[in-house]
Formats: sequence, C-alpha cells, structure tokens
Amino acid sequence: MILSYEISRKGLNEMKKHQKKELLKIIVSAILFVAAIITDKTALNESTHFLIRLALYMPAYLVAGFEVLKNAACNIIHGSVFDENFLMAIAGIGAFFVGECPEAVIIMLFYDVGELFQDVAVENSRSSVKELLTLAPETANVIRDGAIETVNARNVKQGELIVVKAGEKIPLDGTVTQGNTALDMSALTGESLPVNVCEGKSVLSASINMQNAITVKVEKEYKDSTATLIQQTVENAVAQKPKVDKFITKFARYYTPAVVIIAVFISLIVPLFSGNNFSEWIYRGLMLLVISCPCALVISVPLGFFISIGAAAKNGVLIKGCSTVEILKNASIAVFDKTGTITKGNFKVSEIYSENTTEEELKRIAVSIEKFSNHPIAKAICTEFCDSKAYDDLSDAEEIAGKGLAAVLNGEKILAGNKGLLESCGIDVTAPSAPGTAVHIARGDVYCGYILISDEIKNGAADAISDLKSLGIKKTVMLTGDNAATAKTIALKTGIDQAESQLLPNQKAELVSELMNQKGKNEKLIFTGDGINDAPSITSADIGVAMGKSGTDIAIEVADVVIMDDKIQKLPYLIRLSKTTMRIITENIVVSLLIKAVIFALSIAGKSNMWFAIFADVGALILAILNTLRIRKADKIK
Amino acid sequence: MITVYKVKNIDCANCAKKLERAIQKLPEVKSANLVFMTEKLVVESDINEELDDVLRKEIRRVMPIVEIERIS
Repeated sequence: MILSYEISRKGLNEMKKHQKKELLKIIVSAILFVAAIITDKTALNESTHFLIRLALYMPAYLVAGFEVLKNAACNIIHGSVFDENFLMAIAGIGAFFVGECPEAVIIMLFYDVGELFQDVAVENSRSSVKELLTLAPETANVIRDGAIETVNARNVKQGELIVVKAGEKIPLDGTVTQGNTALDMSALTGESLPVNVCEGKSVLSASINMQNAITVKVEKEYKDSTATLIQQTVENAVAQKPKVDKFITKFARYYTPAVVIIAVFISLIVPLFSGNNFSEWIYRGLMLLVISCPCALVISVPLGFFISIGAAAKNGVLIKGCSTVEILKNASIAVFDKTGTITKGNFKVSEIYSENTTEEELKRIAVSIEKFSNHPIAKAICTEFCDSKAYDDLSDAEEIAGKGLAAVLNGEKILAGNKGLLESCGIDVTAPSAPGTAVHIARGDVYCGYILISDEIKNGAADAISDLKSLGIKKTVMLTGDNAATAKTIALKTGIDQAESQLLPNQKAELVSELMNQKGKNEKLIFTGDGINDAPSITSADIGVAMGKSGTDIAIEVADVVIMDDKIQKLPYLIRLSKTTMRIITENIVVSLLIKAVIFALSIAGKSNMWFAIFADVGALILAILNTLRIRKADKIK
Repeated sequence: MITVYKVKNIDCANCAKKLERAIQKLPEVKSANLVFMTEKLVVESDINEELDDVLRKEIRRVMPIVEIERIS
C-alpha cells in the first residue's frame, strides 16, 4: 500500500509533460463519451441508423484512439504487425463492426488509462533504478576565478579545486587541500564507520562528507573517478541478458502471435459453426487481444536483476553480471584462499630464530632479498625490519612462485622461502615451535634461521562460514600455500571442513578444477580470493569472488563479484540476495501467467469483461513492479 | 567502436525488445543492446559519424516516436 501511495504521489508531482497530455486526452475523451451516451439514450432509439450512432461516438473514439490508430497504420506500412497498437486498433474497429459503439470507445479509453498507469509505474521504477545506480552527484561546486560555481561534474578538469559542503557527496576523486572532516564511505565499501580525512589525504567520489566543508583538488576527471567506474560496471552488468531473460524474450515472441491467432479464431470461426451471436464472440476475442501483451513479464525480469545488483552495490558488493545473480542461489561448494580472505593478511613477525649467524645479520639478509617481492609476507618483513640496512650488491633476484626467493650476494647464493625451497637445495631447516608461516633463510649452503610470520583470522569469519552452511553450502574448502599446521588451526577455528596446504598457485587452480568436475550438475562452486595467484582459480570457478581492498587488480578484473570491504560476511549476504531475487522473479512470472491464464479462460467462457482483461494486462504489470521493488528492502546484512 | 545513446519515449518493455531486434539486424551494426530500465542503447559498429543517421532512419521506420541522443 505504501508503495502504491509512493507511485501515485510521485505520479502526480513528477508527472511528465507527455503524461499530462495523456491525462488530458483521457478526460476530453471521457467527457465526449458521456455526452454521446446521454444523447444516445435520450435522443436516439432502436430505429436510428447505425451510421448516425457511429458518428455520435466517433469523436470520443478518435480523441482516445488517434495515436493508437496512427501507430498501428504506421506499423502495418512498415510490415511489422503484432504489437499493442495493432491489437487495440483491431479491437476498437472490431467493436464498431459488430455495432457495439460504446464498447469501442471504452476499449480505447481503458487502454489509455492502462497505458498511463503503466507509464507512471515504469517511470517510478526507472527512478528507483537510477537512485540505486547513481553513486556520485552529477554536479560539482568548482572554484573558478575566486568564486564558487556549480557545474556539471563532467566538465571539471584535473587540478581544479572543488568545494564539498557538509552533507554533500564528493563528486570526483581528489586530494584534500583544505579542511578536515569525517567521510561516510559506505557507498564504496559497505563499511558504515566514518573515515577521518585531513589535508593531503586522498578522497574518493561517492563518499559523503559528514562534518565540515572541505576543498578538494581534483585528481581524476569524471570518466575516471571511482564512482563512475563502479557505476559503469554495474550498468554493464545489468545490460547482460541472463538465461531467464532470454527465456522470457523467446516466450514473448511466440505468446503474442499465438493469442492473436486464438482471438481471431474464436471471434470469427467459432460463431460461424456454432451459429451463436457474432458480436458476443468478437467481444471475447477482443478481450484476448488485450490480454496478449507480455509486458509484465518482459519488464519485471530485467527490473529484478537491476534492483538486485543495485542493492548489492549500495552494500559494497559489485556484481558484474546478471547471470551471477542467477546461479549464486545454487552455490553448494565454497572454496577460499586463506590469506586476505579468511585471515586479515596483515602479517606480523612473531618470532626470529637465528642459527650460524647473528639475529641482526639474519634481518639484513631478509630485508635485502624480500624487497624484490610484492608478496604480503615479503612486505611484512620489509616493514618490520626497516631499520636494518639492506645489502646493495644483491643480484639475480628471482621469485619462485609458491616457494620463495633466490638471489646472489657476493657470489654466494641466498635463499629465502619455505621448507620445500631449502630442502630442494639440500639444506635442512629447523621447524618452528609455534604455528605461523616460517620464512627460512640460507646463505651459501648454510642454514641461517627463520622468521616466523603470523596472521589473524578476520572478525566474523567463523559466523560467515556457519551462515553459509545454513544457506545450503555443503562443502567448504580452504586452499593455501602455507604449511599444514597453520592451515589446520585456521580451518578448525573457522569451521571450514577441509584445508589443503602447501599448494603452489597452479595446484590451487588444479584443485578448483578437480572440485568443479566432482560436483553435481546443478551445484555451483564459489571461489573467493585476492592474490595474483588466485586469478586462475577465480576464472575457473562458477562464481569467482575477489576482495576489493586487499585484492590485486588482476583478481578484481577476472572476478564475477568484488567485495569492496573484504568482509567475508558479504558472501552469505550475496547468496541470500540471489535467492530472494530469483524467488521474486519466479513469483512474478508465475503470478503474471496465472492472472493471464485465468482471465484468458474466463474470457473464452464469456465470464469476463473488459475490466478484467485490462487488469490482466496493466494490473499484472503493476503487481510485478511492486513485488520486484521489495528486493530493495530484503536481505540486510547481518 | 562502441557508442552509447540515451533513448527517449520508449515506454513499453516489449517495444524496447522489438526495437533492439530491429537494430541488431542492421548490416552496419555488430551488436546492439537496448536497456529499457536505464533508457540506454549501446551499439557496436565499425562506422562512427554515420551511425546516428543509420539508427535514426531505422527507428523512424520501426518506432517513429522514439528518439535517440548520443552520450559517448
């Protein structure tokens, strides 16, 4: 009820010009129609010639139906026949033909009213879609020649200064040059905790300024700003055609002609054989023509995906395609990368153990070699030991994927990596006593010791896993290049069923492919990861999910879904959203078809009237739209 | 070459589908996608400047009330 109120209120306030024109047309036609009826009832009688009666109703008919007739004629000339205009024109002319002059006008009037309702409903759903898709304002307050001017954000150049007042959204990416404030970045990350920024800090478009006015130097123009990029991803996502949409499109192509053929059959052929009243059967046929519009179906399916993807974007989850929403509900296997996905990925050195050398020397070697890698562990070591001076004359540094690094220092080979790397060179290592990731270091052929790195499990990871299980995920697997002890500990703490450790990047992808082969026909596999080495797994899974904050560009690029704030809790949210969306879309399809089928049957049986037929057309459409808008409210993140 | 248009006066989802099919059939057009909800038409084609006229001509033929305006 609230929703329909919303529509009627919006409909009156924001009624567009052509809608007002349409309304005027309906009113004029209705007045002419009432006048015609009164004249008919008072001045005319049974013996009045049909043509006089026709002339009496013609003005009302033409006012209401001129456009329909014109469009129908246009279409016939261009060779395309089966559309609403044609159907309505036939229905109207058909009614005149059987002498039902008032019916003819009523058909057109009802059709116009229905069209107007439909238009307002569509307009309303378009604006909710726009609202969901628009992350940043279209205008910016730019400082030009010492004065603040409000201009289209597209026309602001890089390097210009813009002012963002309290309560406003930042339109373009940039750096704060004046003022400090707190930002609500939830549109980008889904994280509602405010972020404090001051001079020199970079800010992203779509953030909301919550406290004080700030001046921002624009670093990225409109087309390159974060909000625009996200918006584009979302728009491209909804432009894709999912399976059910293809089904509906196909259905609509056959449905309309089929109903028209049946309508022609019952209005012309049936009375010929049954000898019944011609006009009665034509009226029934006309009702079928009205029912034959498939708009409720054609509109509600894409709208459902729009609302769903838009709502996800508002919650900090980017879904890159409709088909992802479609298959997420069938997810039954969830595979995770460990670092950055299940754990925070902010590594800390928890223990240093040196052998055959001093601790300081071990640190120096570690810093010298690890600075060649981008691996989070390498970064952690470099940050932690930034006081130790690196050797400059290190050469031939190479990264051995999944194992570690090798380099040459003063003619001696340096190794830094896992147990496997050193053992493959014939060097025995000392096993660390605590769980964690050990980076073993050797110089020449001599073992120097290890640096133990440990990571924390993300908050809520265990809850997210149990939530996933309640949503029908039968199997949870964690893949890691890390050692078995650490993997086992983390799996146990989070409730993950299976932990596969000491995997090389290609082995991760192989395991994912293996799991893909084992699963049932309608089961889907979700892989969630963040690193470069996760990209192959993200690609080969049914649904690849990347972490947006810690994720590498390539992982984000190939993923079907990006979780902007890296929270693993977004995964159950996604599955829930998919289930709701698909349920509502199915409801719409079933209910629309049911309404049409029932009224179709009633019309043939002669138990229906034009009101019901119009309801089957426009009513079904409005019901479907209102039902679809419910997706916005559903499934708040726990 | 991908061109995006804003589509005006398209008020029925089924008509949008029909117009989309008609545009897809044009020999100059490699692919076309008309999104009813955002009122956007995305066309992939080898021609650029002349594309507007080609599309407008086809639209006049199939659905004269529809108008398009190039965005990018």
